[in-house]
Amino acid sequence: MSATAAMRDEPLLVVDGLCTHFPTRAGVVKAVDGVSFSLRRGEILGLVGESGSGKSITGYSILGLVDPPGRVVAGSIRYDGVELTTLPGEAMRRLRGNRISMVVQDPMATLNPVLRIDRQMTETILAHDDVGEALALERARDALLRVGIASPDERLRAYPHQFSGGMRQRVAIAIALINRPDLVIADEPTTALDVTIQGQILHEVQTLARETGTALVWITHDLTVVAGLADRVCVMYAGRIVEQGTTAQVLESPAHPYTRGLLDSVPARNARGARLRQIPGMPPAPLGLPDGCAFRERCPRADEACVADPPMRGTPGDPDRGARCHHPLDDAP
Amino acid sequence: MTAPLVELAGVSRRFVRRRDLAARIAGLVGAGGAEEVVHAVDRVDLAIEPGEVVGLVGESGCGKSTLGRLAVGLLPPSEGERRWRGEPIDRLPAARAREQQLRMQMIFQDPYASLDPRQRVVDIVGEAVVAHGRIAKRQQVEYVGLMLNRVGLDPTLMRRYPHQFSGGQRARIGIARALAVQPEFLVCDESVAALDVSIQAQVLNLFIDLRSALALTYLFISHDLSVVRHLSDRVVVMYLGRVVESGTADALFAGPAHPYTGALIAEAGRVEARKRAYRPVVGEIPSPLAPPPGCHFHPRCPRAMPRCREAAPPLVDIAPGRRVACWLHEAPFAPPA
Repeated sequence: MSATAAMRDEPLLVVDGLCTHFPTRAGVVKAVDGVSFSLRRGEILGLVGESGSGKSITGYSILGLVDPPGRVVAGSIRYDGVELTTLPGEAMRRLRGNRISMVVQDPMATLNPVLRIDRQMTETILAHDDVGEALALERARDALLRVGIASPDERLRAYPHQFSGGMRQRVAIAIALINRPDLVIADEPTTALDVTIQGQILHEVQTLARETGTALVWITHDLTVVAGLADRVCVMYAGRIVEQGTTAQVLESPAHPYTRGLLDSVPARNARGARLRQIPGMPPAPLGLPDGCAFRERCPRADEACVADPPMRGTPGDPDRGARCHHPLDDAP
Repeated sequence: MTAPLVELAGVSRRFVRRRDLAARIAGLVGAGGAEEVVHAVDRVDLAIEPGEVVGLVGESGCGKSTLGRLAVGLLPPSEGERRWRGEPIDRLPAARAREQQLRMQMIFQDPYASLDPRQRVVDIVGEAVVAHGRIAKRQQVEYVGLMLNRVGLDPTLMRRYPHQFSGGQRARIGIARALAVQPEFLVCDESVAALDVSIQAQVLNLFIDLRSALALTYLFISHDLSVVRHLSDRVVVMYLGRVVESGTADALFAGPAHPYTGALIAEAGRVEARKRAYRPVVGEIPSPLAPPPGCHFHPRCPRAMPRCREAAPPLVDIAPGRRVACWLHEAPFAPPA
């Protein structure tokens, strides 16, 4: 906390050259391979990618929750001036659930099925803040109200199995936010929910982030979610960020052919009933990624130059806007 | 006028949870509850014309998958009648029922769970068509090769097992299996929901290509409105077991008549949307075990009136081909009953 005041202007989270690798018998899986981005207080970052792009492993790396044999092999993660990759386990544990918390896709994975909600919530509070049982319960009640759960007293006495899927996810979000963290990593938290429930949860998360100044990393495959929610977007492909910028920059004038392909394959952007503009082929296998640009075999703009690794090309005067491509699309600003 | 290809007339499906031993003993001493009954599908009429693509939308628990299973014959209805080209098909003699069943096939959601992990692709795709005597066993390899080509898979991979394929490829195997018996009518239940965006576009394109190549008729079930809008000629919206609105895709998306349809369309994601303030529908789908009285949607409806709590609105025609079940659309000068 001491260093915090002096570093007000510094981003809350700076990820620089992060590499998280999984050694396997068949070879090393480079799940995350040189990812860099930063996040300011109160900002919502959409981390977009398809299965296997490394978006979730990036989130778990920040939280120090990568399962062995996987580990962070290079790069740095600085949170509020503190280097997380070398932080001892106990210090990381104090940070987690208090200053940094997480919401995952399946709330049953985080909720304990045999504990009542009140117990689960007060435990989280008391683990980091010794305020006493009564005050903790009061806070738990408030937290449930804030995520739109009516009759919180009744809900506090219930078990997770008595809740609907949407309600469970609300409880999981309430627990994640209960200690007013600076940073929440959310991994596809609304993917399994119905659209009307998703709308409610996005609404509540958006309001909470605005009120409390909590920064969010929202990991998703769904471009329509980031379109409505995020301030900035990073698009991942095969372990790397291939494009980043403000939500408007990335969605309205994508520079990377992969981003363009993803946007073009959204049904609403195609003439009704006509064939969709599809990206040919499949994402590359995690073992034995091709040299150079991993997207080149599916890319309409690829040529000999793409055999060499493209660097992230920034935009002059705007370090947060860039694409990792030798032949970025011209209509980029 | 020719009869629709598939017709469901007043079809209902109830699921009853039988009381277990403890509940029955409790019942003996007068403490047990009644059997729980879910009206998964409640008196639904649905007619699908030859060559038509009908989209069926609604949230989890609205009964859309149950309706799909009723339409394809995987579940018998509790009430109502199913017809094929105008002919009732629920009491056909066994041999004809088998023939009939081949005309209707289903493509399932989960490409991981719907393929037998211990069967090779050549048998997954070819078993049914051989068993029904449509082709001889010795023709199976050649025939499966044709089917795999048709769905864009390499026929040389037919000796492999499902786990050796990606999610998108497994979806194609599921489609090849359904096509192998040369159906006329396909029910696709969330068939692209589990796929990544770029792969989803490829599989949707396959559905579009197959429709024109094989003159197929589809019932396309999805929670994803953008997918349904893209593929469908006509859209049916369900809520808690009942149809609340139906109409051509263009008309329904341009001007939803039921407040629930309006809410679904408003909540559906758009890539064009800028950072927006979400104004969501309140509440969740109520338990189908105890649906609200009257119009099932009234507790969540921004335009609910006292009347909506009392009686369920009938499904009425408000324009040619356009039906809605909502008291807002009652004929204004209807004579008093």
